[in-house]
Amino acid sequence: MFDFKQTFSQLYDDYVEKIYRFVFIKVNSREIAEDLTSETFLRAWKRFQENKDKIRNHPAFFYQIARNLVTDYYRGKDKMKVIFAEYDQIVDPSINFEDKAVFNSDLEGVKKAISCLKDSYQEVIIWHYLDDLSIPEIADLSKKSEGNVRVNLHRALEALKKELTEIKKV
Amino acid sequence: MTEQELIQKIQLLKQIKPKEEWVISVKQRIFSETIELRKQSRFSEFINVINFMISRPVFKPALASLIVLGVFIGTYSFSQVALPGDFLYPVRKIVEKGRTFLASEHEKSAVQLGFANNRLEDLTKIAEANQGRSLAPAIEEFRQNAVEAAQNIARKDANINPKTVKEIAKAVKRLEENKEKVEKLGVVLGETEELDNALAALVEREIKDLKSRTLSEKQKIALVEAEKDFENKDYSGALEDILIISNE
Repeated sequence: MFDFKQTFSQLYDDYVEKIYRFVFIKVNSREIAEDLTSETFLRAWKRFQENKDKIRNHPAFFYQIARNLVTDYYRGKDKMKVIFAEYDQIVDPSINFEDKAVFNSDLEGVKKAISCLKDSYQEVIIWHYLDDLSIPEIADLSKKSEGNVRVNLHRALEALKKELTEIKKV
Repeated sequence: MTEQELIQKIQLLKQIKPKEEWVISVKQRIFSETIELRKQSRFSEFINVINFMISRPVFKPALASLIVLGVFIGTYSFSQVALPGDFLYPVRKIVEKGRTFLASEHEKSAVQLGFANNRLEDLTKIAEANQGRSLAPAIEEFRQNAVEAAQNIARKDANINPKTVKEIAKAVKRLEENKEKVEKLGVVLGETEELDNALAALVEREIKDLKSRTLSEKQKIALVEAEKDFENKDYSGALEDILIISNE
């Protein structure tokens, strides 16, 4: 039991930030992201106690639960994906006002653009560029071939560039 | 926009982080809910087993036996802390009688002295709790136990071996200490003449026996001490000296 708790505690520390960011980008609300992330880890802990030895791929384990919860959130509540963000809570408070404004503008733009992408593009961008997962790790996580992941990543970047250009025009 | 610039922009999102206090509180919640769930599930498992047994006629005799066993264990546990005058005290007495009955002949004296000690401990509790009404029956119980122990020690056929003497010596020492404690609380126990006489006879018998044996210098010194204690009617001290001789 002690070993279970210690192992899961370490996994929580390793993944809580990543899962929170993954969910936040998808739901655009700090409050909902907090609820869904805590539910992700509660469910993960229950499953972990039952099948500790069967869980080989920890990122896949956490992201799959988070992904299902986000899907349920939109499906169950019949929500539209609303694009807004609470940047005042995200940005480092030590940054001065002018820099903060520029930073917020860039952050808002990229955030908005990623939110407009389809789920598979969002995920491959988050995993590779934010969570620093390698192509083989993403392939393992998404149960796709490495070649497929590379193609997907390339297309995701193209789509994102297009979205950013569109946002700038507006 | 180059690909490098695009990646830099994406990496701005690394600034999205949860609040530290939220991270800590969720972790605490996960582990505390688990403990609560485990407690609940153990209780519900127990209830499920009972429900299952009730629903199946074949398990009814087993369930009835379990209930009887539960009542028996509960009564036994509560009776062991019952004081003279309490509702469950007779159960405690029955258990003690059973233990005396089951004890071998040479263990009986020490077992009964143990019960006399228990009565003195009961008396301490009663005096400390200021339960005046229970005092008289408790003193009577003590005297009765002391008399029974004395009768057993004095019995000519009592099989008293060195091990028994050791047990009696320990019990008598504890008895002296407990008596002192109770009397300090203002409880008058009165004389325990029969027990004193029985112990005197026991000590005398042991001294006589030791005198007929070949003893080392150390043992001889201890025997002199035992005789002195005997003369001073300090039977507990004399028994201790006899023990020293036996252990040499």
